Amino acid sequence: MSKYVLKRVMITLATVFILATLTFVLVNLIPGDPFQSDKLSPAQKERMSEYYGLDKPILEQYAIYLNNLLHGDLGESLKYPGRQVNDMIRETFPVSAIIGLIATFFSEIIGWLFGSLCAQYRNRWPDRVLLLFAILGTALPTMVIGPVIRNVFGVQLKLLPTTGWGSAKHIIMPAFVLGVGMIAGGTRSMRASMLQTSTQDYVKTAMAKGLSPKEVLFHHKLKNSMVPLMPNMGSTIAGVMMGSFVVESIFLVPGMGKYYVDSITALDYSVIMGMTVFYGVFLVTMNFLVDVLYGFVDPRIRVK
Amino acid sequence: MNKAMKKTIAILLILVMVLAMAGCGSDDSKVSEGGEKILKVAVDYEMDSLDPARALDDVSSLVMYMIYEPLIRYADGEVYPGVAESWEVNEENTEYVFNLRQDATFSNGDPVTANDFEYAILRALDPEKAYGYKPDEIIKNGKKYCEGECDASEVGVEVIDDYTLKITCENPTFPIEFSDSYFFPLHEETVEAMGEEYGAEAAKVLGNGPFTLTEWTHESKVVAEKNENYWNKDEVKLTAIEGYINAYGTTATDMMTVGELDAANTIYTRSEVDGLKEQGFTEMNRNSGWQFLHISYKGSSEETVKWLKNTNFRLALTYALDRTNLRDAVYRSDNVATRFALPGEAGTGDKLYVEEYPYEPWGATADTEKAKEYMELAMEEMNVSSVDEIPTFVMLTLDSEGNMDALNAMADMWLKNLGIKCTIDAQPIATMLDKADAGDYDFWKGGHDNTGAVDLLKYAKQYVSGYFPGYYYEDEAYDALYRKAVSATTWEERKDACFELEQYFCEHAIDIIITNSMDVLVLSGKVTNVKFGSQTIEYAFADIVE
Repeated sequence: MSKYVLKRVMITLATVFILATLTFVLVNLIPGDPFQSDKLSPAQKERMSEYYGLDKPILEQYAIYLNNLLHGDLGESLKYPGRQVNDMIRETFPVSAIIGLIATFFSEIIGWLFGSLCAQYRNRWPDRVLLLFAILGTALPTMVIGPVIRNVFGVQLKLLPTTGWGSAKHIIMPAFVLGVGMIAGGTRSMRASMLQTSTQDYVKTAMAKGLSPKEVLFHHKLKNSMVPLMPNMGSTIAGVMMGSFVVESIFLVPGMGKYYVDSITALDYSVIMGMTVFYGVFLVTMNFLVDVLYGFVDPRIRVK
Repeated sequence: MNKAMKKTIAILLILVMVLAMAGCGSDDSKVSEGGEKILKVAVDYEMDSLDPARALDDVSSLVMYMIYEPLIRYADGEVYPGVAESWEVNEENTEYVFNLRQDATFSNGDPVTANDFEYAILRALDPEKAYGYKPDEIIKNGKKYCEGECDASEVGVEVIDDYTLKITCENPTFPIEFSDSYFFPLHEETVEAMGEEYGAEAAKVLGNGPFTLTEWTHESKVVAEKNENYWNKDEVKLTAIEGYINAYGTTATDMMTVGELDAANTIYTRSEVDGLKEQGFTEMNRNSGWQFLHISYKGSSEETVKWLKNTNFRLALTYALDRTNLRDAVYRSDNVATRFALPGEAGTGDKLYVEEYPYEPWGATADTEKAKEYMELAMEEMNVSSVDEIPTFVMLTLDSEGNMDALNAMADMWLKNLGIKCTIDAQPIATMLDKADAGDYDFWKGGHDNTGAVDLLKYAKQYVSGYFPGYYYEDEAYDALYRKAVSATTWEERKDACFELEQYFCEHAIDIIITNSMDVLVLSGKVTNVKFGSQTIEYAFADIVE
């Protein structure tokens, strides 16, 4: 087992290094200049490039970047002077993470429930209705659902604050809107997995032994259907915890997603690189954790 | 459901609730709402910085004018004393002696002195630093110092005593220009202690204005509370101003409807503004700049640039556009521009510049007859007998629907009225700006933001030979008129010279001006005394009446 974990650690580190390098290269390939403002003269732009070290040879910039990265320093924003990328992540990641976790939790529970029901009632009306709902959830983009939900619950019914951040009430709408699209995925994977499980010998044996359908469902089908869904959980959770530009914009949530997207349009190099590397590290860590856990849950994995 | 499963679900639910609570602070804002006057305003996007030397965007100005006060205040076309109680100026309008009020303090109670203005100006110009926003073209020797060509002692700012400040300017300058954020005082001790992080957080900024910043949750909210140490605090009626960052579009409309916002200049569609007005909201407007088609005098090819340099050809293009039609189809909340009024609405005195100097070089609709006449002249000069011999022109723009609609409409008008063919080169922002900087286009759809421009010649300057990369416009006559305007020693002379410059610009169709963009500010019916100030909206002296 320890050999398996060590191997995973090495792969994780290599992935992060490749990601950091690739991000650096790609960011430098984006055309344009981070100091685009009609208030800056060409000479001022030049001086600012010099100040932020953007005039140095590219290899030197890369060396500085890697060295800072090794020390956990993601640098200073070019667009927001005086603000450290580390601070930005520290302030915004918890916000996005909470919304993401709650959205994932509810959407997975509902997705699994819907998926199980679909599989149980395969090709009958509950299956069709729930699948239709799932497809609608995927087809309707958050930028459509978001304002509608905000208008209904915030403006018309006045049940929830339309926007902002600060209380438990503020989490409900963004988490719901973020989760709706994910229910569909959960439903479909669970449905497929459970249909697959239903044909397994141990399920047939359980039924032959005379167990009730309910007992077969809870004791045999449900648990075993969840195992194949696990590997995807790492990336799903990591992705959703990074924040959503659209949801954060609609509900004025100070999360990470908006910074991330805005940094790209503003060509804020250090923020783009810092957040990408953070996301990468978080993603591979989540995948690593899931892999290790998976090794515990399913002994066949670590034997391989 | 068996026991184990129930237990698991219960634990998970508790976990989620704990997480939810952990992530949230209390719902109470720092100002209680019990009878106090809190103005809730929309802030379009996150502020760059509240360090006046580093803030380059409009929303930073919006907040800075709450927490700082410049030498002179400017609102709704009038100048008022700020920290400077009075001032004397020489005949040429180049040397100002400001008498500072002795009761002006920073929000921590320290007095504001002439040293704080000198410090702020010299810091912004510091050749060692790369500050983006500095008065290098206003203050005498500002540019030289900034480029390391002279010593700080030669810069035109001098402390005569604690409450007397002398500023010498490069060119004639008018009081309105001292309302710019260049002329905010800075508290040296605080700035030096914060270093590069000054202005990046609520706790890292110290102002002297009517309000003090107490909260800045990035990308979310900014709160400024009344500064009890402000010299003119009796005129400040609000207890606090809360700014909601990123509140724009339908979000702002929804927030206004439920009372979460009192003022927003971030609602862009006419139907939404009208809908709010039906609910009792009021609207304020100000001309905020121009939408125009910029001509590249470098061009997309040698063939096109020959045509672009022909004045009659450019005039033909100008007259062939139906601006009313364009406005109705694309620029719905704008006004049709029938001139290029350089100082916009920045005139001081009884009349605005545009009223004092009426001028209409082209009409609100297309004048096809005139366009064709100019076209014939141009073809004669270019020795061309058929429009088929004229090359196809490239129109550069950002790849968004609105921009493409505008360009398609203009290309159609030129094709229909003159037979001129254009192709559209739509690009993502970075590529578009790169191409724009390189002058690699024939027409580029752009906009100038003139919000509260205190520098009347800010945009006229960009057409001066060699000033702005990517424009490549070179015309000695224009340069001479510009120099005349800049060196005009009285306000009247400056306005006259601006008018002369404007006429030259329009008669030569140096650029193709399309519409005047409008700032639309929607206010709750209870809010009074909001003004259009220097660079931005002035909320500091607003009131809420029940």
